[in-house]
Amino acid sequence: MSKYIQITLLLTIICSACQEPVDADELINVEDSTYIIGYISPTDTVLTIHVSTVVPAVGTPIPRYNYSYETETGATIEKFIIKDATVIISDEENNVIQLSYNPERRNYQGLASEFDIIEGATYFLRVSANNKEYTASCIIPKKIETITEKIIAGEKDEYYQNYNLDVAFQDISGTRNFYLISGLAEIEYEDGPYIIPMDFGLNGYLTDVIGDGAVVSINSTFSYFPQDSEASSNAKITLQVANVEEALYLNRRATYLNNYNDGNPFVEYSIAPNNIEGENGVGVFAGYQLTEKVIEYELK
Amino acid sequence: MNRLPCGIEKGIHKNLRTLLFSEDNYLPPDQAEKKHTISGYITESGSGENLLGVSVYVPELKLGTTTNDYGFFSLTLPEGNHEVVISYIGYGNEKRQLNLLEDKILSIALKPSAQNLEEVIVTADERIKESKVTQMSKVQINPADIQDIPALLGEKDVMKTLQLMPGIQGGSEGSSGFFVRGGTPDQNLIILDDAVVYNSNHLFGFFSVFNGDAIKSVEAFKGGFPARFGGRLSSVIKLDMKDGNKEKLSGKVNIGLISSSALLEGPINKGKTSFIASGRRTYADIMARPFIDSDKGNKTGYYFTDFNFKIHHIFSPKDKLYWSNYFGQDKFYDNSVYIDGKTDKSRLQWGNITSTLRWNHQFNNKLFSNTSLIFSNYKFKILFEEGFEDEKFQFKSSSGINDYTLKTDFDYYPNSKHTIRFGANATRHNFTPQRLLLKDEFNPDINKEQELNSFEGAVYAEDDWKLTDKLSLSPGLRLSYFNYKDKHYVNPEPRLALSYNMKSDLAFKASYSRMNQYIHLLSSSGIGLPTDLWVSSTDNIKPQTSQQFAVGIAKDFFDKDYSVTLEGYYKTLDDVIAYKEGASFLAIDNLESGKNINWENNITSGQGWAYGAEILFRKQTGPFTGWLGYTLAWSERQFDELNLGKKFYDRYDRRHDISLVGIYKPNEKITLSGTWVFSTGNNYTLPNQQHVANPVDFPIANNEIFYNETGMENFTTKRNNFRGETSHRLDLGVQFHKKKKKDRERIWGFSLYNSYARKNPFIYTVEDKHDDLNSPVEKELIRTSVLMLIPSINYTFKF
Repeated sequence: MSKYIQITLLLTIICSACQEPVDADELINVEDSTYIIGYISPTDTVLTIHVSTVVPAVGTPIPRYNYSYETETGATIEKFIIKDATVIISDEENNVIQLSYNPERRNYQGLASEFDIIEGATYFLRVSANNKEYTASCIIPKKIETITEKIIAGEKDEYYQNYNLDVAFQDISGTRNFYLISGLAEIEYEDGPYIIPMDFGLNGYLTDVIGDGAVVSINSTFSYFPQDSEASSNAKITLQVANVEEALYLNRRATYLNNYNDGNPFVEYSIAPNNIEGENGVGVFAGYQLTEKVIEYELK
Repeated sequence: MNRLPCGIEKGIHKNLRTLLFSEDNYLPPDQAEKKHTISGYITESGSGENLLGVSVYVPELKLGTTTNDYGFFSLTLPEGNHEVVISYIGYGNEKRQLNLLEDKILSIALKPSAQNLEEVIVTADERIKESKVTQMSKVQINPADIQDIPALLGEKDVMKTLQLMPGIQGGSEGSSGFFVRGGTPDQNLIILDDAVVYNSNHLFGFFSVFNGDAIKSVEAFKGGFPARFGGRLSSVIKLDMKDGNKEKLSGKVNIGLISSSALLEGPINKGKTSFIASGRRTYADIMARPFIDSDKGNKTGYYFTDFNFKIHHIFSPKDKLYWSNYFGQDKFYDNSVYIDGKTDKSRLQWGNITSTLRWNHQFNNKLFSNTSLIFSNYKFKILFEEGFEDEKFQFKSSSGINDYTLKTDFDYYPNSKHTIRFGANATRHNFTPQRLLLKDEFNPDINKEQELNSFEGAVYAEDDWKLTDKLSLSPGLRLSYFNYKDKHYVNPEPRLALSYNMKSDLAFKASYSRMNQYIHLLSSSGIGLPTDLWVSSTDNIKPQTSQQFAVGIAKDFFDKDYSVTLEGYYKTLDDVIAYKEGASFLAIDNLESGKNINWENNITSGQGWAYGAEILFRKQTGPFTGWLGYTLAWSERQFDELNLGKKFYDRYDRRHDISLVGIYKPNEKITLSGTWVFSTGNNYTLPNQQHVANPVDFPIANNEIFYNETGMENFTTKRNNFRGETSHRLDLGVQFHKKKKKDRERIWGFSLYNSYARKNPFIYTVEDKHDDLNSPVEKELIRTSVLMLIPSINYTFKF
């Protein structure tokens, strides 16, 4: 892939390319927006909603995260957080929970034990911030029942052993579903556990487009680097499948794609979804259900 | 005295007759008792080349016709004495007095006017001009203009010249993909001698595949499509190759900065059989070779080439055969040998092949037919090979199309009021969206091929009907059919055009056309990369459809030979396709890894609206020729799955477009030319806002949490939220001609592309302002510009 881009860029340079900064009033003069985000699920112990101010992407200096600047970065971000908002979640039965601001997490939080989140139910979010009202609603999707997996030893040499992992689950019938898939292998070494994330890439974002109720499957690989080629280790493999609302799926996917395609001018920038109602409100309030499976696997 | 033919008179109510026919001007030709037909061919004197679109006109009767694509005409006139004027832009007028007592064959050879220098003073209404034809939204380019207009690096370019016409807009600076009346590049039907050309770009779109030397005529239809054309929504670009000189061997050699071309044409059997062959190749790769360390096997380069070849044979005056062929290819190659013995080999190659066999048959002096057998191929290939010791990795992928078409068209001229065309065509499309071979030491080989076969057919009939000498109507119907597996699409496509002459040199025109498009281009880059993929409509992907309404005025100024056209259009597009958010080259990545992908899942369909107005002021004869074009346009799209379902302006929605073209030939020795273009900037989707990144916990630990230096994430909530800066540039050219003995000529040409070095945007990116890791991250908008102040020189020798 990079070859195409290299060739194109090379030709572009040959043809007397010139790069220079330009004024971007349209990009800089962005109306003040309020960013609201919250994902809720029956398995939550804490309900969390984030409320902050959106700033222009161009022309806003933000200190980098590094040892000397960490506090400065934090302090800059702190300025964007809206701390005096009123954040209320309610359900169809008029049960209400008001979340309070937690300065440590820079979010509004409340205990899930005080407010039931139930599969299939609709929840309403109301945020009052900067004298403006924002609302949103979400529905908790169904949970997928079981995850099945198959691990096969793959490519090997004196330094590493690859494993191919197939993950499958049955799509929930009767609804359009959006799945986020993830996994990690926790390998015990002498000096402690080592965590290897599974790279599903864009395939970690799936829909049931292949057919309602069909078996959805994806695969990934992970590598094991044994410290002693004769020894074997145990891996704790955690597989996660979340059935999420479309807005949540699109939001995570847009972030992934925009990072993945960063620097590739030939791909359209992905648009972040928005289900927040209210003047200049942006963000996502959505429900999800998580299914996890943990297995022990012997690595050789 | 203004007596209608008895049949018509009886059938038309008196009041209605008054409405339809203006009593003062109408002199129905059919009132004469006897009528006779003049028919024949108009050719170019000296070469025998058939000339298409030549005006054959009888001023006294205000009746006329134009020659068809093969130079044939048929005109039925009342018995008696008539003066027939035969005229064609760039050629002298020919007047013939005919005492028409019986059917006549009139074959005329027109002489090219000396370098177009003579101001052809047409003092009266003697020619079929813009205000005299029913057809609207059509522009014609004189191939001589293509040779005179300054071009990038001296590469005379048909497509770039077309983009100087109103309503036909280029993409970003440097690209040759074009956008007609708010459509997309894949909605343009480009036909070369009846064969569809799928990829019209060389060098990622900087040049077009058509070598201007071998082209006889270029016509572009932007709307009011005649029923004989179909299969694309937005335009028809019809190119016809020369048939070859039937009288003498002649040729042309052109040496330019990046390429050279040669053309040779002549008789094989004088007066009967002729041929034309032309070729072009770039040589940057050959010139770079001495600088590449080739001893060890290193080799790298890029070239493009194209080759046209045509044979024309006349069996009899009534039967003629044409065989035309085109081959064009772009190739990038790279062989690298490293010190540790590792080898890399890459190839990237794409191109078209077309071949058309045409048989003209003239049944009688009123019925003419052409039957064509056409093959068209487009192929894109990519190869990567890595070798180290005994290990070898090989990746080969290709995609392409093969089209096999049988087409037959009839032109029927029953009388002076009707020109009827009808015909049918059938095409078998064979698409290979993906053919993949993956060989790896560690994994089993992957060798798979996706293939789609579909069938496209159509029957059509159209009539150019001259109701009165003021009003003409051109109704047409095309019935198109497409089949893919069990899915059958049958769509009627009505077409209608009318023209009303308010004065003899002023016409009001209106048209309606409905079009269907069954094959689509999956393009994410918008700049015509060869990775863009042609695919067929399927059971999931519906055909794209469009409807276009256009109204306009055409005015000719006879005394000065100027013409002005003003047109407004409104076009709706349905089931147009686009990639879903973020989908694009990712498909290729999946392809490289050999994973199963279904391109249909990456596609979403929506609707579009395009509307605007165009004005073209043109002067086509005399020492100074040229035109001024202005386009005011809007182009919008709506897709449920893009931009949160909201309507948005298309990337190439450009409000204003101006092009000014001037060619001045003060004498036979010099040609001066200049073009100035101006256009509103394109739209881009750029992140314009940022919010706190990942502020809430989410259990799915996926890899989207890339290393983030600031804890902030860029985003945008609107597609095409940034309008780029205005583009404009001035290109200048000068040619010095020197006539030599035996009709030979040498030409030195100099040109300056973008002569005031305007930094027109090619792309925009949002990048970090500071490289210093201790500085804060601050983004700024960067414009990348290409093609500033590019001079060129070329030498041409004609014999």
